[in-house]
Amino acid sequence: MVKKQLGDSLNLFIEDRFSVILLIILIILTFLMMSMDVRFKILLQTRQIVAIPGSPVIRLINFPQVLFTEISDLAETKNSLIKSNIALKKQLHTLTVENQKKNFIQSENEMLRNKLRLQTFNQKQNQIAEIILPSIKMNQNIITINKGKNDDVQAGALIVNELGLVGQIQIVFQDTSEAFPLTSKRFAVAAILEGNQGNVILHGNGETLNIPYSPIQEKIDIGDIFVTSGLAQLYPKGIKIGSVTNILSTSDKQFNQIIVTPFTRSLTFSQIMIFNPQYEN
Amino acid sequence: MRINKTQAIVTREYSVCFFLFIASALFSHLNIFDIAQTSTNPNYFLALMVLVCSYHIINISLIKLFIIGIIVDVFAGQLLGEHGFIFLLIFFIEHLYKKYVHVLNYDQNHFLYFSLILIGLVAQAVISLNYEIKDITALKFLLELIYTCFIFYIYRFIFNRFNLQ
Repeated sequence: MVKKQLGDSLNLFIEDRFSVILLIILIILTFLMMSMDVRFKILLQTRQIVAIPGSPVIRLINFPQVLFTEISDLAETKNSLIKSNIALKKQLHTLTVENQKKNFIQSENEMLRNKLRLQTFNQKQNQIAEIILPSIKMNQNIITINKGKNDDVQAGALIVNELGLVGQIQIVFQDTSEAFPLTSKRFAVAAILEGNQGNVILHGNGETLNIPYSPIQEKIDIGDIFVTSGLAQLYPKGIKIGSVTNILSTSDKQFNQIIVTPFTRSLTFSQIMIFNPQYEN
Repeated sequence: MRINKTQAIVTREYSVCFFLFIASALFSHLNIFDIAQTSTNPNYFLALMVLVCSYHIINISLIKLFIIGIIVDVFAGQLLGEHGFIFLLIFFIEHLYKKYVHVLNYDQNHFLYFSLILIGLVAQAVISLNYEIKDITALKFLLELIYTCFIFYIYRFIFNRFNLQ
């Protein structure tokens, strides 16, 4: 009799606040959410809509740098301002001469492009921005940019600095954007060898870029430079990506693995240029 | 065993937890622990939830953990549902442990904290590798485990300090 009563009331957890059925339902729900998110990128879309929670944090962590810049500006003396003014005037003269050369080359370039009917890149879609903090989020390297929807930045835009390709924008908030660096596992870019025609896809592997399976007959040597191919007709051709630093053999003897080290690093508080994916013919 | 807490204690617990949650949100955006440029940082939210689960703070329940997990994911996660799953898992294991290990002495408690953090990080690593979210190496994992344990003990110290006052 006693045994029967115990058997009837025996549960895995005595406490009423723990329900195994609810736990199983919630765990199944989390798996469903993960699968749906991978497929439909729900989190990216949600984060774009619910950008408010992150905004004060980004402002807060960038506050010391902003404060430092403002104090530095205020603390500048008259003497140093005069000196920098003279230096800027000299620079202006040099740049004016260079601009004349550039205008000549540009008009020549346009003429040749018209004759060859080449695709042109809409320069109006480019804009200068700055990389700000955070540079990491939940142990994942990210690039945060101080321009967002308000500045017409679009998801998928490439970010480039003077050395080459830096990454690609994934999420656009009102005032800021988040991008994956080109070494991110989620990054892939169509590329060609400089001065060559063979198209390849470069994948980020966390630290460098690589071509997992490159046919051995492809003539790729250490030091060769990869540039964007412009294959998808979304971005300009010829942006430098990186150089080949290692060629590894794979389990399949017909293929090599090519390791490409990028030219750029996403340094915080450095200037970059955003290339929105809009072109005209 | 469930302990009935006074309203004052509950309010204080909520305040400390809220403060630690905000601190976690802030610190998870900062690369404070970047040693040898590994870009490895502790999982602040995991450390906080291990504290919440093992101390039974804020009358934590499955639904609350699930919702907190979703909020963490929306705020700073990489995959929707990732943290929800991790928090539910550590809650379940904490319950199993306390159910079957009746005498919880000092060492057993520390073993529990370490196990929960380890299981949480392993679950996160498995999810990350499965969905190819981020690159995980043995060194990065080990550093993350050490850092998260360190943060957990800091949080525990802060919680005890505030709660005992």
